Amino acid sequence: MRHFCKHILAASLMLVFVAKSGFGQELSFSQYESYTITLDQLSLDDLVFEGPIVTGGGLYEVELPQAKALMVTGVNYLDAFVQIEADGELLLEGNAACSGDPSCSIPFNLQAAYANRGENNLGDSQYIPVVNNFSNARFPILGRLQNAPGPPPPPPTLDFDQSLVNENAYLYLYGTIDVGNVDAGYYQGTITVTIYYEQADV
Amino acid sequence: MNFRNKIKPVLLSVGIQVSLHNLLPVAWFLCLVPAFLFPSKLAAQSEDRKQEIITIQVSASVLQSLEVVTLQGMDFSELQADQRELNIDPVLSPRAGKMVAQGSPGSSFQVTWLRNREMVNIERTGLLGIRFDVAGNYLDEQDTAEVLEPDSREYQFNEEGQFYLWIGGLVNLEDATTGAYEGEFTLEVEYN
Repeated sequence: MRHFCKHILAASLMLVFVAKSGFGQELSFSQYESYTITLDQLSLDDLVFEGPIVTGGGLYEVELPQAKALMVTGVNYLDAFVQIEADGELLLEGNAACSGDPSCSIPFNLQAAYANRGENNLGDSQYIPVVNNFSNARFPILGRLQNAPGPPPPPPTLDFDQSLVNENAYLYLYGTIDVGNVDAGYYQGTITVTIYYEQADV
Repeated sequence: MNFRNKIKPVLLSVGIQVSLHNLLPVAWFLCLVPAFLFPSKLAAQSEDRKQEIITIQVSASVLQSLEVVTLQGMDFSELQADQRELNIDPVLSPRAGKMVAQGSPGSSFQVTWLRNREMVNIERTGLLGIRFDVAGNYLDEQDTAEVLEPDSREYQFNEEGQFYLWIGGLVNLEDATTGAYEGEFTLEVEYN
């Protein structure tokens, strides 16, 4: 009987532990465990500020028509969350030691937009507010135009084929640099774009 | 009776535990392993599908600012009153003016200039027409310089970021009055 009680106690502790770490036991209506979302670059080019860019030349701009384009593919009736984070400056040869050094760093101001009418069409694009080169945006993967929202979709089953409800949305990245009296050379920085369905998990 | 039926599974469960008394420590361990491993694996797979991250490079090639320095002015000295024209060959004449354009080594650029200008007599009324000719060389050698055309052709800075220019021209002296003349020569260098 003493052994039996000992195991009952151990079993109770184990159940508590397993319940806390067992993801399969959770049910959350705001999460989309079985849906996929992908992000692809439409071209492998960098976001390049085209020359000639001259020392002390001031403001240079990549405008929306020349923007770096990304394609989001996901379920057309879901919203995509996008987090965009960019370096605040381009550094000479990407050298981190140049950060904050006005002789070898160039301030970079990111701008962004998205299009969600199913086509890579700049005419459909809508501005994404970016503050201090950081943005958290949310938009439907397929824009709902002026239509009223439809009925909620049926929950996915084992027969669910996401390719049948996939749609493409597009992200555009562009911006300005302000070139002061910096050393001539190749300057670079990075933009990190994260795409997901559910904000709380990032 | 119904109540008994409802609690029956619980009683059965206890019965199994008792009968497997000696194997329980092993059973707990076997239960522990998947409990530790699977949730993290499932979570990783789930995150793979749920989000995607892309890093994009932003880049700009910055060139040195352009500069054109006059090293030597054109020499119009000692012209004769009966002289009808003066031709200063930009390649051969020591009277040619000399400039050096400076920019980023190896980068390409264009040169443009106003070909025909007038010089003004600063002492009395009179104009003097001049047609400028320009020769250029990435070496500091006038006699091997190439005569340039004011078009969109590209030239390149040498490894020191320099390109030499010699300025000559044809001056029409037929209607010239005596006196001193002054004028400007405007040459523009820009990166392609």
